[in-house]
Amino acid sequence: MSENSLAAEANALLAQEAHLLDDRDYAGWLELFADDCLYWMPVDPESEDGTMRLNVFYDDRPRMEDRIARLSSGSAYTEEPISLTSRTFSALHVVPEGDGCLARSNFLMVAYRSGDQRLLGGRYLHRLVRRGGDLRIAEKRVTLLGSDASQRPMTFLF
Amino acid sequence: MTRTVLGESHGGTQTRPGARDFSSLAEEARVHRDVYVDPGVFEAEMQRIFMRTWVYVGHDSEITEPGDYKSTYVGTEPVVLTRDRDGAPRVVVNRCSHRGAAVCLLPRGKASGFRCQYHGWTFGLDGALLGVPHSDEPVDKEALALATPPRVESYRGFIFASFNPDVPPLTDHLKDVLPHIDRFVDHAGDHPLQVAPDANDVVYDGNWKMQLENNVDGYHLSFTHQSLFAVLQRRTGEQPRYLSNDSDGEATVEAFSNGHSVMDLRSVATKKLRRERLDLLPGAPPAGADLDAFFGVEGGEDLYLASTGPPMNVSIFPNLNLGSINICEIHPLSVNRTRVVLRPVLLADVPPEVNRIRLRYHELGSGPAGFVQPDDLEMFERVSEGLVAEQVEWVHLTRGQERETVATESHRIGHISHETPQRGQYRRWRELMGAGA
Repeated sequence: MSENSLAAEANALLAQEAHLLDDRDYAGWLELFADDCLYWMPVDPESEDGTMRLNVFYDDRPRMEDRIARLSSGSAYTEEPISLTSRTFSALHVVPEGDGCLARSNFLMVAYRSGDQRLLGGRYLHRLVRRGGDLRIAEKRVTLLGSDASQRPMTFLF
Repeated sequence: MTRTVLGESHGGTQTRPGARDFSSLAEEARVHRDVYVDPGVFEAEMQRIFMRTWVYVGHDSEITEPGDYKSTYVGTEPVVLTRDRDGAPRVVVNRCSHRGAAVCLLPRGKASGFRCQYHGWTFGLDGALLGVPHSDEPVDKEALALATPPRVESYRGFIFASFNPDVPPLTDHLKDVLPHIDRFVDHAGDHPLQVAPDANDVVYDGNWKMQLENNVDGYHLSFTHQSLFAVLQRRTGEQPRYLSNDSDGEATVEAFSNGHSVMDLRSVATKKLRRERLDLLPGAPPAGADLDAFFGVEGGEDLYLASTGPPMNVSIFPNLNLGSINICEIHPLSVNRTRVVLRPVLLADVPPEVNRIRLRYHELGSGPAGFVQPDDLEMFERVSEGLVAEQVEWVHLTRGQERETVATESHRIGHISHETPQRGQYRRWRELMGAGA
């Protein structure tokens, strides 16, 4: 596959992911991930390996399912009423890796709740792998500007 | 490293509340809304509580080497905690003695001293003024050292500072709560505690006392944190015990002298329940694994179980909470805004696998995306929202008032759901907030 078509495929996957998240289609979002996956946000924005560092979240697939179950429980009060999000990503840079790629992008997200709009920005790193012909997310790292400074609750998905 | 500047000026001394008596705002079992919403009360609290008693500033393991520093606050006073060359912890006010610029900009680091970049004045780790550019005029270096709190003392690694030269010794102040600090320090046997350098750091729109009260509030657990229990039930297929107040009969709360308190969960946090929570963590040992082999150390099972911390929450008046494996600092920013900084304690001399589990356990509940802490913050903000109402003046703290055990006037013991700790906190608040205070 040419690098251009790989980049187009990665771009389509990230766009699909952004829509699923903003639509709060949690089940659809989970389907984009490989079974053995990692979804995480380091506290230190320069951290590239969260294993031995403190993170804002560091989810394997079962923990992602817990997170979604909690959001859907009706008793995750930080999300009652639910946060609405609208996100965009750009400056996608794709480097082939194995049968997939590393996709780096910048993101901007507006999160709205109870009359308050918050602007959150940072970088995504998606490590994509091929599963049964399709690209799936093996790792998603969210590097948030100011993640090591004081934050309001961020219980919505990035 | 990102720089956080949250300190804000709270007006000049000309607008201070003076000698006003605020003690009538806190009765034995009810508290006036002004205690949470009146800026004048907040100003008085900063003077009469945070400037007058002991305030936690950091743990020994955050400043292990000479020159290590950590920026923090005593109330709203920006300070820097450092390790001096002689090994002693020092605290200096983060304000150049010349024109007022902050001299330390990062949350932590290592330095040989401080240099104000505005006019180039330099200071030692102990605040001594070392150098002033231009030697053509005399400068009274002694009078122009960085300000320092007159008292800095520590107990088992916990460093406190006080701006009150006449404050009683730290161990007298902590007194009844010392055994609970010991339990926290000794919860992993002989392994020394090592505070993680990174912190989960959150802000909420609400008064600082909400966090202090909530840490030892056993009443709210089953309600505010219902979603956590729903997650646990989904994974284990069993209803977690905290859900039933009837089954929590032996768990207690205690109020001590000087406003300190503990919520003791030993009787409910069974080995089985702690193990179930740990087994859910990303990268947890597989079922039936040999834990000595998995963690690469003898006593692997004990170290694994110790990853939940001692089963208790301790509130040390006015700004330190210990709970699970976390050291939690409360930083009042204004009457209706508070910063909470949580750092997990790791162990200094164990294989990395042990600390990896401790980090994952912290992340389960804590921080802006945790499964526990955000729902507490949400409740604090809902309280702030409700306290806008002026037609209802009082907040009630009556639960268990007639049933708690009064061991001594200042030491009281109640059922986990009793508001015994909060009444104790306000007994201390009343002592400090009177006119003669």
